[in-house]
Amino acid sequence: MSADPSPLALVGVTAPAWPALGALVLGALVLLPRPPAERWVARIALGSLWLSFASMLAATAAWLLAGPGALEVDLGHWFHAGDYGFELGFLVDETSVPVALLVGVLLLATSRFSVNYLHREPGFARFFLLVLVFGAGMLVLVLGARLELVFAGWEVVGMTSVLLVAFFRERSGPVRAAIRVLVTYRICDVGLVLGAVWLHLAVHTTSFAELGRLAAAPATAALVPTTAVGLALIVAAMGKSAQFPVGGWLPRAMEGPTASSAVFYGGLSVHAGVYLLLRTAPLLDASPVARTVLIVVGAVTAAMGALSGQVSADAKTALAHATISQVGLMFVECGLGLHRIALVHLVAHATLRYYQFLRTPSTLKDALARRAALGRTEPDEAAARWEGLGLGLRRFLYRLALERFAVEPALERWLVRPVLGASAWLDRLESRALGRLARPRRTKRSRRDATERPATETQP
Amino acid sequence: MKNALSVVWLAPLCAALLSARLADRARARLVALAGAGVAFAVAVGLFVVGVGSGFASIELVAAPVVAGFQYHVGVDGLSWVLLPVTAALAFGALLAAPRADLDGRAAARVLVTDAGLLGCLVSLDLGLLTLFWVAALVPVALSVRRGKDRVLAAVIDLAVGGSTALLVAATVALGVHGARAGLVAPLDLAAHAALAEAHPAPTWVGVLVLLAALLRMGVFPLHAWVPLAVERGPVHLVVVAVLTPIGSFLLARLALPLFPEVVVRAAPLLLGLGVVTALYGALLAVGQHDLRRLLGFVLVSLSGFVLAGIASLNEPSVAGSLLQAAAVSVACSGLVLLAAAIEARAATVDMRRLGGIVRQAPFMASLFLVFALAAVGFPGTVLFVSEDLLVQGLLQRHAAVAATLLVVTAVNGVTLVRAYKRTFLGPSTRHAADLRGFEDLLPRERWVAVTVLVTLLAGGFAAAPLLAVRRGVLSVLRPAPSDASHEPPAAPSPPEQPEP
Repeated sequence: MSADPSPLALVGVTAPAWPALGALVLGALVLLPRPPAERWVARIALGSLWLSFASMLAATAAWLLAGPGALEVDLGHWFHAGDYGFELGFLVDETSVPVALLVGVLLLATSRFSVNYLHREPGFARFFLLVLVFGAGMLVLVLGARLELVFAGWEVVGMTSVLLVAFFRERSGPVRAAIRVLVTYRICDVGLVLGAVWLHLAVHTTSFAELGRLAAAPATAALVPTTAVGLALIVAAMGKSAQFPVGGWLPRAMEGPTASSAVFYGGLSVHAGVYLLLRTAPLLDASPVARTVLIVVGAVTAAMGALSGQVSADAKTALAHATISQVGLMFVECGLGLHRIALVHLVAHATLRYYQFLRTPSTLKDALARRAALGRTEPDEAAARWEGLGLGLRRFLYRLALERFAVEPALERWLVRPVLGASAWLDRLESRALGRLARPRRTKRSRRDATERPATETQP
Repeated sequence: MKNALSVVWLAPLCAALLSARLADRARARLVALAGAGVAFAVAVGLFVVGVGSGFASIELVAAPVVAGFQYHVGVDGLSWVLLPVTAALAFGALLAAPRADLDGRAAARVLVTDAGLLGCLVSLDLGLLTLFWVAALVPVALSVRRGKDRVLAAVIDLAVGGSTALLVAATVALGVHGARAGLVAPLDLAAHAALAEAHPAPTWVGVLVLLAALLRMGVFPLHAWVPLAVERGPVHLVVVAVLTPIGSFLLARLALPLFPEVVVRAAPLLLGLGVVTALYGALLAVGQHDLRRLLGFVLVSLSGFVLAGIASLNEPSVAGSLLQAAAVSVACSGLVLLAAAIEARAATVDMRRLGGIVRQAPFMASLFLVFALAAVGFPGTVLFVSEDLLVQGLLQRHAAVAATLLVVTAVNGVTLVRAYKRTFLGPSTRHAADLRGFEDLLPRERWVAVTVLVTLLAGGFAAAPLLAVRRGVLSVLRPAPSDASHEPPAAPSPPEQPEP
């Protein structure tokens, strides 16, 4: 806690600004008639990411120097009206520092990797533009001290992830997958906004530090609507972290370039949900209902992810399911209140999975080489593990896993189709009503009726 | 400087008279652009003067009262921002219109509409305002009558006739009321606002004004003309005539100060209508195949937000909704102009026949995406600010409404990005593959689009000054609801408050 932040801390919280600035510059370059040279794009991207990483180190140093506890940096209002204001504040503490550093390292590694990986790809500049925007959003998400600011970052992360899934935009597969990601994100994000405004309404603050204090003090703990807000936030986290029943998008999201799949779905974006849960831990801890929901959702997802992963035919999909199931375990840890373990799990898993995703293409090559050298395929250990089970049950599970537990057809049938059906029906109804309106137009009387439109309009 | 208030509407009007007579298209276009450009420059100049003077109101009164009318114009917190936005929309629409579509008469229609709208914004006399209101609507009605589309013509006739009749009736009634109360200028808005507390006008007059505003905003069930006009109307005229936020302006200019009692009593109903409109527009937009019709319904849905915000009658919401109204019109105009550009090239905006045109037109595609995201309040754009304020304000009393609006925003986001995907991405359909000559935005279209982009982004980053402009208006608004409902404004109410 510090009333006026040290210069070091002020430098530290510029971490999200550098990628944003880099993105603006790149955006302006992309708008020019001639596409910018790859070398310049790479320089701008890497330069801004290095600056951002340096600011993060400054923030870490400021936090360490400030002594134990969290370091809050307030930058005043962005805008305000009446008694409501949107405050810009950053929170540097033991949760945000490791994750922010992880973000910095992974972004730098991704950019360096992609300079070669995407060489001569038509969307070279677009890729780096999106990665920079994502970096800015992710850092706002990680360092933001209030739920509104986290939401702003959250939205940016979601949208860049949608656009990167549709990176190869000439093909129909990636574009369709991107829409699925988008729909899931948009619907689930409502939870985050709802949680934020609800907190504003109930306790007039969404500051994490403030919330922790309120929830800890017995006098004020009853004021915080922990269950309602907790459930809303869990919905948001479920969408971002691909939990049951809204996790179907993650395996499809692998359509993007390998580097972005790695940083989004192996590394950062998919863990944003867990990070949100860690941030709002004091709130969730106080609500047994929310904790139960977390444990159930996490456990179900972990089991389903593990089963689905084992029947996946390609490496990237298998990795995606493995990611889902590990993130499910993190949800369980959060539900059990094991926050430190969840944080360690998050950082370790993100790092390992990131590496695995980047390596997938070459791993397959390695496996083929090994197979050729051995002259035989290696025994399928995973399949052998199931032999203790009865044949009927094994088949049943196999089929369920193959069908991904039929979650998506169910959502399609009970949610998507009714909405689109209602839309088409209302549209027909309205068009027919308007068509009827036009028919008696030539008579004089209908001209007189023109002044009474409200009355005629309401009748279908 | 005061005379600038007259120049702002006289310039486009004169240009309209001139360009309608010119047979040479190129010259007519230049005259039209000059007229709209002068109006835009003057509006921006006024805004700059406003920034210098801390947005103190400027008024011009020409003394004689003729048949109840008085030439009383001014610019205040409500119109500081709307003036340049409206003038810019008209200028941009003229600039972006294909030369083939823009003969002297078509340009004149856009200009008359522009003059009418700008006149509405500066009028401080009800008679004057009504005259301008009619002038802003007549060109659309005339233009669709010449077309072959009977349904469109009938519906626009009803909408134009209806809102004109409602407003004229209200004006006459208020004039009579003002004359009885002994006003020198019986239609002066300030005088009526002062009169409203002690000697209010009859309730039914307020209801007429409300209905006129709701019809103009395209609020359910009076919305049908908006998507129809956006889908099938002459697009560059529609951008100016339909997309400008003049309906919500009427609510704020006329209904709130003159009929606070009526607005407070109708507030629950208006709130309900706002939510229903937002939901209905979003639901119909999501299933559309025609890009222009889809945008029309998104516009309806977003008007619902504006109405709900105004009807909640608290400061963050009203500030948010006034900002939202202007921002929605900018973002949606950008989208509609891009749709028009697609239609001019591909001869269709049916998304089932489009697809994959990002290859030929990457610039157009990127801008469409940014406008689409801006229209649903993406962080960093001005609509993020306005929606945030709107929802925060609403939540204080109407949690369910706020929650519904959030869901609607999510659905609208899906609708617009899905439209982007179906229009621009993926493999080309057979029709789109035939469009070898599909050109990216032309320089003039590019200028318009980039201006829209810069406006949306700049508004998002520098939202505080935009909100400060309207502070004066809000302080006028504030006493009315709290006096009438006798409720302490600051007390936090339980979140379970049901929506009416």
